[in-house]
Amino acid sequence: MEVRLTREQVLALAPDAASAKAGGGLAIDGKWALLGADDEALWGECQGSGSKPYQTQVDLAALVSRCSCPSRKFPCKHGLALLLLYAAGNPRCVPQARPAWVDEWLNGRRDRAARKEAAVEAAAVAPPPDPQAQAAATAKREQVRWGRIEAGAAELQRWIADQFRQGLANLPADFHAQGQTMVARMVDAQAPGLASQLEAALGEGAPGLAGLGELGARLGLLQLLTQAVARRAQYEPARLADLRAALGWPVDREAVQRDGEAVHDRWHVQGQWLVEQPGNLVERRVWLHGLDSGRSALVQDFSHGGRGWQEQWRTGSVHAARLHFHAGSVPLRAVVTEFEAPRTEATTPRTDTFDAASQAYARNPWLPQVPMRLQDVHIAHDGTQCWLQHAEGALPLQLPGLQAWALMAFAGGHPVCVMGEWDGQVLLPLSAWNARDERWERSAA
Amino acid sequence: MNQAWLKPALLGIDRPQVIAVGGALDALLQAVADADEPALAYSRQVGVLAACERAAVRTAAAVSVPPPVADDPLQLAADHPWVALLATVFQPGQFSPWGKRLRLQACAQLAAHGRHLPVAVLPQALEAGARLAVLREALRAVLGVRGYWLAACNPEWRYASAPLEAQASAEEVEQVWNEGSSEARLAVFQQQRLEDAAAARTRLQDSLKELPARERAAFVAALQPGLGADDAPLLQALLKDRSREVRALAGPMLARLPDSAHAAYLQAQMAALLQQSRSGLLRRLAWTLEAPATLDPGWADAAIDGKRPNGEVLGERAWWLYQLARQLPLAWWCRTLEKPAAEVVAWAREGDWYQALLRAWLERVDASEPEWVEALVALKETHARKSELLALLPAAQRERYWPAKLQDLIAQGLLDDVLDSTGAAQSLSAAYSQALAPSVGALFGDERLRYDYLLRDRLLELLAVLHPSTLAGVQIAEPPATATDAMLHCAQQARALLALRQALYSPF
Repeated sequence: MEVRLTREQVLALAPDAASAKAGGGLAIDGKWALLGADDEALWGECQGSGSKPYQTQVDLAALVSRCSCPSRKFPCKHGLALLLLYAAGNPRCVPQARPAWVDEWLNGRRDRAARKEAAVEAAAVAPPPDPQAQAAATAKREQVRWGRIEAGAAELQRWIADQFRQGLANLPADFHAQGQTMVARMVDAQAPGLASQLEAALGEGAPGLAGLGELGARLGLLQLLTQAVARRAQYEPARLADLRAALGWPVDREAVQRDGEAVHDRWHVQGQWLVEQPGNLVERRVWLHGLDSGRSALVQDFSHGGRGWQEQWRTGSVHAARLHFHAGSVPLRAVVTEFEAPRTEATTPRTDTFDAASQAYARNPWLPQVPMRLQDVHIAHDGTQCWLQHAEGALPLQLPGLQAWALMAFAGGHPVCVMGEWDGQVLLPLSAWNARDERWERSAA
Repeated sequence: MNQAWLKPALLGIDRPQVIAVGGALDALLQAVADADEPALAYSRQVGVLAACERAAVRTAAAVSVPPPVADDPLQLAADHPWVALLATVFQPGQFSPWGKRLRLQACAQLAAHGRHLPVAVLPQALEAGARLAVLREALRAVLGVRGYWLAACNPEWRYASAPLEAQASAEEVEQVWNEGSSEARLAVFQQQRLEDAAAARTRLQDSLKELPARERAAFVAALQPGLGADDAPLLQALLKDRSREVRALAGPMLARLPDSAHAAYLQAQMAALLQQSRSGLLRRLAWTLEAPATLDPGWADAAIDGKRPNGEVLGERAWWLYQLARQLPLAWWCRTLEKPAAEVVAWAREGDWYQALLRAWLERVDASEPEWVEALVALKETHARKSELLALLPAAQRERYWPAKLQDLIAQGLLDDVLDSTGAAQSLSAAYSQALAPSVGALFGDERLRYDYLLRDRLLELLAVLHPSTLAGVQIAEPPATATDAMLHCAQQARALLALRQALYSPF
């Protein structure tokens, strides 16, 4: 007799509790106009909110699903529901002829796998490239890029100094347009980090007096960065890595796996969120805490066109995995290998202090954000903004409209534990727990 | 960290400047300042300060933390299957007429099960209540302690201030009366009126001077329950109130008190205008009505405005008559003329002053006099207000006015009447819904929906007012293959609405 998945195993695939619940709700025979299965795959058509039914399919060997729905979750609720129906032994999930769209996908997957294998074999057979020649080529490429960045940084440096010379209160009428031109120049100079930080400094529209202070401070920080580019030869490797990260220098995943500091641990998922980026790109940020090592880590992935994620992290669960940290004076970002399925474990929650965040920013002022998990805090709302009251003081929370009230309602005036991203000015809460171990999660932006 | 650097930076840097902040940082800033040309060096100093500022986690002054809220055993737990359902019902967004009804039904159903809204849905539900006043009453029943607590934290949700306990102490009542919002004060007043009518009257009498006109009107209207002869002096005084709204309200209330001088005055005035004479071939006794011919000085004390407003369609005499008639109870006419309501209306129609009387009666009629409602509904002059009048009738009586076939309802343009006269929290009767249910679903595949966008909305609303017991019999038809996106969307919405309603009325 064939071995079928259990309901629990299927639910463990869910990216979050909401998906698991939604999947459970859709696992009703009547919602599926078409259902079918064979040895390799499982498929179905489910009526969603769109006009056409969603076509959902699962590769049973790899338990990978694909769906025509626009959800960014992976697997989506339709994929989960389909698996749940299958696990429950739905009588319609019996071997039958595959529709063309299932065949197409499975064949595509098979082809891609074969191509990948062939490429690996070819690489194994091909004579190993001369390491010296390779190193020389890399060094030459880097040098060219540094040259461009240096020229760009010098240009930005002059432009910022010009703004200070004429005074921030006397900015020209076309300041914004000039700034945008500089942003484009920084992209041309292969320094996307400078471009994005300059764009953030420019903000939208003409700044008010408080905005001018903020603009000045951000331009000042950029100025330190342009100076650092010129001085990079004096830096130790960790500081140089900080600089490269701040400039937006892409990091090769394999290089990190090879050279990065590796930590095998039981990683507790503290919080995560999806950020929609322009161009149909979704960024996922997952914050982890090593139960044995006590380390914090950020797993940052990007998915284009709703392709989904390699690892499924569920907030609150614990995964054993090996993390390879990117270099830097505050190593946070990491690449995952040896990822294991979640297990439920009693965890002792870690508590951060303001000091930890302070020290991280003292070591690297260009850090985009650091994790902060604060125990025994109260949530308050002053009518315009949500606040977090900690023993050490109050911090502003970045939560839009009703989400702020949702967190207020969740806390109910009682102390809670809040985990979020601190960007140096405001805390962006991602998850919260109360004394009864109920959880609140930030919904996708 | 102070922003000592900002002022020079705003004005422009044309000579070497060192920012002094005190402490060890000054030496560093000095070194940075010496290194390069003035503006560049200054911008770097600002960068140094900004970097320091980032490393300092700046906390704000302590914020006022709301008091902890007690546990609510009636609140739905986060893992209850209804949480997802309610979250869908209260999804923020446009309020369609059916969405409004669905939200009301969800509140009513939850209240019927004796449970309160789950934490995760509270903000959306309170926000919906802030935007839709009609939802508020139903919401109050399901907010629970935490809902009231949350509403108290947000000024925009003040409408949902917690109700006073039945045994609220006198001080608590006084506190709400003195400090509460106008809704809360009104609620306190209504409660007191039920418990101790005289005390409420005294309270209103004492505070009349400080109340704005709109609130005066609301409080006067709240005197209605338990209206008695003791209220006559207060109402008599209100006949001369500055606000026309209050005068218009006080007159009919006072006229309802049979022993009041005002009632007697009005009846005498109207009786003087009525005459019984024999006329026609058979010399039958018949009543005739004449409008007042001259202005009566006594009217000023009876809330009758002698001066006809600009733009008034009635003539001067009709205007006087209308003001007299609108204060008289409808039953007086039946009594005096010794005719049932339908015949009184028919008699008026034959006379010269029909428009004035009709206007007065339409203003006066309410749900307590169904025979008058039916008499007025039958008139072609009231066509525009038909759904409003029908809404005053009980469902079974109302539904007799409509054909039992949906096709006929649409063809005769009566669908709007059906929907508009069904109260926001009501549904059609089971029998009438049973008659409509099979054809509702089929219409979602109909070609008429291609261009008639109003019909699309109306059909969806009809789906929201069908009696819950008949929902199982509705089958949403598949739109034709050539359907437009709007048609597909409509059918899709219908399916979602049907599923939500079925879930709301399925076992808890």
